[in-house]
Amino acid sequence: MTIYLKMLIYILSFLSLSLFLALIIFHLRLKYYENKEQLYKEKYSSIIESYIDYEINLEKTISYFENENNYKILKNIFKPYLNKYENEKHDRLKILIKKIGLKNYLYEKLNSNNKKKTLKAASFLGKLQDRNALNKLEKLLKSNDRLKIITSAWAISEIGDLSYLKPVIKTLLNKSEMTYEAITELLVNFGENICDNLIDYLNKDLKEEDYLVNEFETDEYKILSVFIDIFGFYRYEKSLKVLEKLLIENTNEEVTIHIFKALVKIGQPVNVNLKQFLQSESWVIRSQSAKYIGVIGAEEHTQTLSYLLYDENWWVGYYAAQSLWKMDKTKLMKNIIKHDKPGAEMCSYILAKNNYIFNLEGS
Amino acid sequence: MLRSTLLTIDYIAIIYFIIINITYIFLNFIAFFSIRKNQLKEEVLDIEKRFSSEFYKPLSIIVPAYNEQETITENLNSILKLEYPEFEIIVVNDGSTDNTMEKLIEDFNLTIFNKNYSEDIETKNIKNIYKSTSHPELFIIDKENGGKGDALNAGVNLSDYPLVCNIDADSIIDSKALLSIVVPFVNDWRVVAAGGTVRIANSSEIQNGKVKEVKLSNKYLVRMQVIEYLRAFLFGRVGWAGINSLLIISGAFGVFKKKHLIKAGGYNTNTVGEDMELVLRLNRKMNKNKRKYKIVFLPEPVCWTQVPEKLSSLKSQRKRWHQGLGESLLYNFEMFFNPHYGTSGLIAFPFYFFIELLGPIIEIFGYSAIILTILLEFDGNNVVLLFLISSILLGVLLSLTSLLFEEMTFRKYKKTEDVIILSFYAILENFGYKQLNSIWRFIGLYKLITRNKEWGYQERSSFNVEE
Repeated sequence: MTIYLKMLIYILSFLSLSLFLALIIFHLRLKYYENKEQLYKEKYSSIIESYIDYEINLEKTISYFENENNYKILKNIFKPYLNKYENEKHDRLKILIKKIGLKNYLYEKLNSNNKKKTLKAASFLGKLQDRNALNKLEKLLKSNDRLKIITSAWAISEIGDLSYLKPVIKTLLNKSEMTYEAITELLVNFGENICDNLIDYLNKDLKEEDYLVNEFETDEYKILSVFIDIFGFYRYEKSLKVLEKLLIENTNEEVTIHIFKALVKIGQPVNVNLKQFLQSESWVIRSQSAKYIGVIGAEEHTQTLSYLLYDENWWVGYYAAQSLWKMDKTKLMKNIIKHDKPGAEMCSYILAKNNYIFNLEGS
Repeated sequence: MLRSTLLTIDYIAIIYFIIINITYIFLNFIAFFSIRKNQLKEEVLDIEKRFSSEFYKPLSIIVPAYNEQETITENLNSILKLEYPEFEIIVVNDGSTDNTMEKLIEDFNLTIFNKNYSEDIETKNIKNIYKSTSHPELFIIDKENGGKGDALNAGVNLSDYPLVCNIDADSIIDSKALLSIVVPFVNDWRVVAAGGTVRIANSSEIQNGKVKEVKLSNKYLVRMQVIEYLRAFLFGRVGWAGINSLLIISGAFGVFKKKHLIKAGGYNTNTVGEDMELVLRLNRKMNKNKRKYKIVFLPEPVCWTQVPEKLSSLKSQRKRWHQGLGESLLYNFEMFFNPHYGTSGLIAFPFYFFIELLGPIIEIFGYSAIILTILLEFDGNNVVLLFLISSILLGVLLSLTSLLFEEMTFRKYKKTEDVIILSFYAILENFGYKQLNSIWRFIGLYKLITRNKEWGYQERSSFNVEE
């Protein structure tokens, strides 16, 4: 027993000492690497900026990078520029990255068997909007690894090839556990053209029963919710007709909520009787439709809004009062307060929130 | 008789040390892979680029304050500078007896405001609600004293947004920490709560409400706590979260989905460990409702805090923490070895109960018995001594590992000499500091049993500020 314990102590002492040395070596190594990266930044940042601003041409810029093969550091230097610039300047960066050999390095990493290297390369190639990476990215998208799925979906969306839209949506809805917000945020990288594709899908769905469900292999309300969020993000007025139809025909509460959230952003009226939504059993639908009324200034619903001021749910009352304020119904609100009618407290709150000062006797 | 009793205690202590160290080694492995995965995720998903996105959920920050006149202004200024698309700050003055309220009124131009207070969770009487005219996103609740949990509940009642973030009034949050801590809520609908790392700011340089330069304090007690915090956060919490068994989110910095927090009944006002109790209760409620859920821990978003520099304050804090731990576990004892709660019920909860809560008993009796066995030169004293040495070496090894994790990930201590000093303290803490901690935790356990609730007092000093 004693011998074993002594051995254990020797081993632990050895491990502790080794770990201490590893810690110091690691610390010094990182310090060295950080300094090196800083030197690279100082050396190349001004060159890259001059090239982007057309102060020096491509040939001259490439000559500065001659014999440079520390692509790991170069990748970190180029990344913020790719995030910052769009269109022509972004294209210039793409050409430079290709010419100095960084793109070949990235493909080498993309095709390696190391997950970490593959995903880092995939993410960078997405920023480069390099279409040649799409085949490999699609393979990553088909995996069962959540990080591989999300990284490849981001990269594909940044490249913006709409022929990959369906597999991306299908995978994210079925395999990613992402929220609608996260899926929408990713999908809008495809650009506003995505909306036309989504309208096509919706029109086909209206003609053919269960079209969306069969195509995307998930519940219809999930697909619709994402589509509608994207319309809202782009304030896509052409979607109004479809949204109107969905408001009338769709019975799913979640979809209705997404529709009103999108309508609030689009800010245009729809040809649908909104009263039924203001009286919905769902407080979220009541609150969102009340908010929408204020955005479009639908004065015919003033009376219903004044009932909603004292809704059992605080948020419904809040948005009803906000809408009355937006529709310039301060006189009505003051009257409610003056006579201490139901909803007076909410009216006072909204008036104060909007810094509206008044006295109950005068104006 | 004495010999056999001592040897029995020795062996119980030895078994305890073996279990604790094996668990920590296991957590170390999990934490290592979790940290690497998290770093990769941060890099490939490019979180920084996304911070202006309209897809971030708006957030209500709740800052409970009790006698914080020294630090409240500079800390609120720091919170007001946080980078986040849409947020409100609700400071809850929990019946302070110093000039906290007066300082708030004066420094932030407060006027009484008629904001609706929902009363979703019952709290002590609210005296007034104020709004800042200089900072429209800032609201103050002035209420009767009811304790930290009660103050947090009042903040939740007043909050407007779907996510609520609790921040201690004596803490400083890294400017991008909120953006990072909210990402899991957007990327995964199952996430109901997320915690960030708490780090020690004593002696660090603070400028415009931000930690400008991390400096290692030259005080013995603070350095010990730096090692402790690194161990607790970088492999303790990361490790437990890695096996989906996180049972605590620090009261200093955590984010919750408001609707689930309210459904769970808010913070418990009858415990001094309201942060842990809430997470345990959330686990229970979500499980009962059969809802898929995740409670996550992120090592990167950082909150900086001042730790006690005096033994008396530290003693008081540790007693309180231990009492809170015990109360939290007892309130949620249903989870104990309950397979319905998966690894949380079968591994994490029993570990917290036997090792964390009851540990001080074994540690104190174990240390005493081992020393006596060695001093009285009983048979087997060699074995006991060797076990004691092995156990200390394992402790050193684990602390060094957390330092290595820190180097691999966040590298807040840039100076090589700081790393060497901390390594030295990883050894030093085993001789005196850990034993003192055991005694304080033991007193906390005693107070739990005797139901003696005493808040203790931590002397607050302002941060090392440069304007």
